[in-house]
Amino acid sequence: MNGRIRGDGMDWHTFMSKYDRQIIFLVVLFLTFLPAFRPIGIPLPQFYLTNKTYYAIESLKPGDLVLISFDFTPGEWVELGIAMRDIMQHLFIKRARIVIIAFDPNGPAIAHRILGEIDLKGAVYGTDYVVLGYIPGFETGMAAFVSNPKMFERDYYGNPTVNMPIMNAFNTISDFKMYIFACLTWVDPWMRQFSGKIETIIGVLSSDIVPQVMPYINTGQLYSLIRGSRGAAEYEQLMGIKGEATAFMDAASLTVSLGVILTIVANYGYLKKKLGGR
Amino acid sequence: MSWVRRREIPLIIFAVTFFISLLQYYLKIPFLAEANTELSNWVLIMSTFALGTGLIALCMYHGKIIMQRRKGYFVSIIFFIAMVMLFSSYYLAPSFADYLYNEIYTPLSIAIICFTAFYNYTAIYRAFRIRNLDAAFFAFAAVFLMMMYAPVFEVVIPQTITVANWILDVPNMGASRGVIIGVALGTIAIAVRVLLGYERAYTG
Amino acid sequence: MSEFVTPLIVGALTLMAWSLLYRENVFYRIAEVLMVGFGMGYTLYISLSTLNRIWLQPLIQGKFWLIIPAILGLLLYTIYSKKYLFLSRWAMAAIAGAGSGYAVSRAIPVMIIGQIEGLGVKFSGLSTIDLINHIIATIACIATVSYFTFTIEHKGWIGGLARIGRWSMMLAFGSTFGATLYANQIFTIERAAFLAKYPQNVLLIVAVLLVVFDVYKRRKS
Repeated sequence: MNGRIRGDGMDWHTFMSKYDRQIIFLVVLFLTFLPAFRPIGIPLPQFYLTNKTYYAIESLKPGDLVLISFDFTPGEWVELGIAMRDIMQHLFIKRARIVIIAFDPNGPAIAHRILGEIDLKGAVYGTDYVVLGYIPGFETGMAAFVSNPKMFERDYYGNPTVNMPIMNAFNTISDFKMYIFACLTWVDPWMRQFSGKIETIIGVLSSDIVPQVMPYINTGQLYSLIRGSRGAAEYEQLMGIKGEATAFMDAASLTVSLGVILTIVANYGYLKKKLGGR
Repeated sequence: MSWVRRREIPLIIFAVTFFISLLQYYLKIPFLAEANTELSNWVLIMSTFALGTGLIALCMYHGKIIMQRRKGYFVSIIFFIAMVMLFSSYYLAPSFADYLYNEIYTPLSIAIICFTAFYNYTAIYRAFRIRNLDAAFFAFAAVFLMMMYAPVFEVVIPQTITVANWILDVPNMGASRGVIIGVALGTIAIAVRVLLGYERAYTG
Repeated sequence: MSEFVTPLIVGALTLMAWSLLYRENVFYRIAEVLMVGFGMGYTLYISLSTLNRIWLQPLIQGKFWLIIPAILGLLLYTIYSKKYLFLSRWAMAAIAGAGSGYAVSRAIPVMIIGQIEGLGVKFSGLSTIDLINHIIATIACIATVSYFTFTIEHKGWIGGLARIGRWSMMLAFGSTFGATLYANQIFTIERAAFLAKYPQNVLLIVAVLLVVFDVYKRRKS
């Protein structure tokens, strides 16, 4: 083999340098599609914080008040929406009373979608759960809600909240037993406003945020978290369902392994040359 | 009427709102609590009005393209059609609005976000070189965290996850704690700078 | 019918969005502008319905002073006028001032005092490994804060501490990068899982054939 590819007169090294982007794209697409056509079924180990979240919700008693906020855009449905759907289903199974708010404008629409997709287990709107809607102003909105959770005279659908039984179940933010929020950015505003006000705070977070919130986990300010779709797959495993997120894990294994291989390959030649040249 | 243009007016507004929202947390004075409630109400209303500013900018941008019949102006027409379709269906046909939002808009948003993944891989292959000790630490942590998110590594080589968990819970946690403290100090510093008039973002 | 048509529409839109991976083209721009258009349509709806809830209804019920924040909110739109731009700064200052006040008031107990409390340790029930890990984490934290101290020159022991801080931050940023790779990849995986199903996998075959045909045509010319 003389190292040349074809009539172009290009050798392998030049070919790889010229078409590396296209080759990488094709390999990524191949590894992404392969498990969709031929599932592999790689076992899914559990992360300790997913277990902690699951058992925290499992320990809720019927009627416990839980505050949920949907603070992400539809583009994050895969990372956060699937996990929130699993958690909402678990909460309805435990017959918790749920108050839903949103600090992102898209939150109420996503909450509305999830409520339409899960089994509500006979829960009655206004008595067992309510969607209060979008609270603008981001951190100012959070501070306003924390100081007065009954700030809304109408819910997201325009219904008056004054006669809803669930609205009489709380007066202050501390009446909530648990707060679960889903966000895709730094959690500092949520921690600043809610930390110390509600007993248990759980975050459903995009995987890239997880390393940054470990200090809050360490101090207990954030009780636990679910790390995106990987956490959702683990949660589905704990709930005993074979959901959407579980199906993605085979492809995750293959494609993320490619990242590891590329890191090693990219540096092998470079380091060999650098260390050999000394 | 030149007084309305003075820089001091937004600075005074910033200071008043800042001190009301800051002091209400530390001082339990009824007047302050009531002022804070009313202030937060006003800010929520202003923030809701602010949501429309991005919309206006986009409408002006696409409107200009259509008016000037620039190349590809039909794409701008599609923008207005999509916007009016979803907005009007929330009032005229809410179930169709739910369908558009859940079945069309959500998957489309996911598809548009996909590109970052592909460019991550090309960036790793082209630019990720361990040139010094700092980059070596970076690569070490990156590789082990990647392994943490690929279940196959945890199953085949469980020790990789022990290392990944250690990185996450010890050095990463310590450094992130330092960053959190730094961010908090920076937040306070920026607020003081605005109050003293050094930051002109809000005052002009 | 919609169980057949909707996946085809979404499959087509997904492939139009992904066509950017091949090259810049009008299909991608259509998909992008559709997404932005729908997003703006929803934003308009949610802003109007929220305004109705928090402003219009209370105003009708007698809280007439709420006309003031409405005027300030409308003044935000003067940002598009060079002559009256200064008016938009009044509302921006109010929003920023309130937000900063809430952030600063809570940053001290939660982010500073709360995290410094985390540096402390209860020795009872602590194993040797846990103690060593705690010391490493504490050193990493102090070193990171010292790295951002620019009023003292990074020489001598401060320089050494700052270097340790830099290494700790590299480990932290590397962790974030490794996690980000997965977080970004999962979107592609979800779309691929969708495209692999019938009937949208037919569109996948059509898209591949179109790309191959275009590559062949461009090489010929």
